[in-house]
Amino acid sequence: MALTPVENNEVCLTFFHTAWNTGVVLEDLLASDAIDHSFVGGKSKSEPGSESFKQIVGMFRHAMPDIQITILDEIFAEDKVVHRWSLTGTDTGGVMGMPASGKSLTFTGTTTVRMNDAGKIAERWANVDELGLLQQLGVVPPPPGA
Amino acid sequence: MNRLEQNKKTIVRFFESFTMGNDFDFESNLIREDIQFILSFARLDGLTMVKNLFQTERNVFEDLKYNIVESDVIVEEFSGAAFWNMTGKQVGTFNGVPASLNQVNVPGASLFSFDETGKIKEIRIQIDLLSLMTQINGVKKLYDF
Repeated sequence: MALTPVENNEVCLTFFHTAWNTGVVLEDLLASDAIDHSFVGGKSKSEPGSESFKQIVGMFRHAMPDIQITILDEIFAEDKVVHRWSLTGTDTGGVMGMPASGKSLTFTGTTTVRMNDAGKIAERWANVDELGLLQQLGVVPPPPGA
Repeated sequence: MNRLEQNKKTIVRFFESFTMGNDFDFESNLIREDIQFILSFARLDGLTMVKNLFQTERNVFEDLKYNIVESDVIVEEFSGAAFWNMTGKQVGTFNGVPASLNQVNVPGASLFSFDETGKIKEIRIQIDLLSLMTQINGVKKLYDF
């Protein structure tokens, strides 16, 4: 039986808090045919299963072991859940293959999830301010006037 | 039409006509004069600034469109979210990058807040600016560093 929108949101909050704050991806909250449409960290195509998300979380947690997620907005209706979030951590491991900067970094994004009728995460889309992250690292110059 | 249907219709109309600069009825009835329009790199205060932003975008990107799928618009009583792909041809300077004449296709999301009367009072934008800057040759690709 499908969960209520509130319950769907709670599943997503548990999944994302646990993944980002501890590094554990709760696979039992993912549908067996889950698809990740998040084009982050150089990814450019949708991928099935949990590996894509694990790689993204692993990459950032390696770079920023103290990374923590803050959910800034939650919108949920029917089978969809939208979160606007920020991630904050200290760059001690090097972000995206770059040397560690030692800086405290914060970047924002939105994640949309479609839940299936079994109350599992079936699809995930993310939109991340990677340019803002690179600007904080000094790799890309800030926008004119900033 | 109930409140949720009204919010969804407002969001769709925002993308399909307000961003094109040709919906004056929308301006007077569905968006507040003191709207806050918040991007990751800027915060615009008021309707005039928002209209100027879209006018500038239309000048920079020929045939600018925000393509949304209505069934993917998510609404609650006082909030909503929409996901879009912005398309257009860069014919003017953007973010210091001169016209590339490149066609761009950039994903993004907008989160809306509505007041008690159903008018839009805040829009937060999340756009893949790295993708946009890459498509107009404004930044080297990530893994070229």
